Amino acid sequence: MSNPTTPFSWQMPTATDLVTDLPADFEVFGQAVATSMADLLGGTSGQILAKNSNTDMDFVWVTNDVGDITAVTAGTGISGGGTSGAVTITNSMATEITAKGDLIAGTGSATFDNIPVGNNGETLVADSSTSTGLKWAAPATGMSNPMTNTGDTIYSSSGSTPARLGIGSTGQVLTVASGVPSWATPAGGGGKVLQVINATTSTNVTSASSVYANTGLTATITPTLNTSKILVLVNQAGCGKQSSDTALQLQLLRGATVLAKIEGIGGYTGTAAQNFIGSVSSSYLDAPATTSATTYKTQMASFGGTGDSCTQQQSSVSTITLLEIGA
Amino acid sequence: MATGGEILRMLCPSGGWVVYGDDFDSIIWDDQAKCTKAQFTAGFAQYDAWKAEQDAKAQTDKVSAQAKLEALGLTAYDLKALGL
Repeated sequence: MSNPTTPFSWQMPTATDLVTDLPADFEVFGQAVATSMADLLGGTSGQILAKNSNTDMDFVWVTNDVGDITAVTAGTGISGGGTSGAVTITNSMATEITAKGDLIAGTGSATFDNIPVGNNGETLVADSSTSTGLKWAAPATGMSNPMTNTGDTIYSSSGSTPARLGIGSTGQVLTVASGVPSWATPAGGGGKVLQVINATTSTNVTSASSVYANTGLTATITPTLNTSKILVLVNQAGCGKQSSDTALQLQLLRGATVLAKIEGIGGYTGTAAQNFIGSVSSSYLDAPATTSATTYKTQMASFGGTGDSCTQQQSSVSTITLLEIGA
Repeated sequence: MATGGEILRMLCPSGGWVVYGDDFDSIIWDDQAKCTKAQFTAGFAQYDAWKAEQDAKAQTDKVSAQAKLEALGLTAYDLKALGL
């Protein structure tokens, strides 16, 4: 034995010493042992000795850890367990998976089963007739779009079969024929007034020309239906002649087309005297056969182009009214 | 205040025009312009005097014509009876 001892380095009496004091040597030895073992003293029942630091023989008594696992019991979905040694537990759901794509689904309270993967393109859908309430199935096909052109609409024919309804013509309305929708030209309304347009002017116009010129009285209407009639009501106010042996002439036009001469010799006297005759009124029933914007107006001329005739004299108000009448 | 039509009647008595209100730029000429815008504008200040002159001349002509009729032993009623 080495002196001091290995590994505690306790100092031992040495036999070769010429002078010995054995009691004193044992006192040194005993104190060294007691010092080394000092941490082993104390402690209470149930405590265990634990290292207090990295220093040799530095221990401390500590209470044994509470909650140590003493047993493992498998619950729902888990198998295995034990009360000692290495314990193995197994996920029962995982063991149900046997192939790529398998799914686990419940079959009831705390029970489950494997759903093998479906075929390519299939989707998982609910099905109460299966044990899991689920199944793989081909997806329902969407509605086949029957539309082909701008303005097409879709309606249900023969139950839920989608059908195409092509756009109708301008002015047509959606109606029902034989139980399905269709576009149709609306009934004209049996002479009813479909719309009214009115315009006025009070600008004095004086003409000393035999060439017809606008009186400034004009209105534009866009018929709803090309079968409609347009009733034109004109009241040309402030008419007359102001000099020379002339007369006022008035005509009604649709666009550039003369519809009627509504006054041919207004205010004629056979002399050079002034003659103001007031208003010249006219009504004209036109059939423009269009649904485009259509302008009606009056034009005037001075008979013979010598003296001058006038309309809207003294700012008299002339009016033109257009009534669309359903056919 | 004269109207555009009256001004043109004064300036362009031979006709061939259409005017809207008093706006020279609105005038439609049958063939070519028969007066300028300056003449038209100035015409508003000249019209009353021109009109008075025209009325006076017409009155003078009427009196003269009546005198001539009387010298012939005729009246205006005689002329009407002849359809004149």
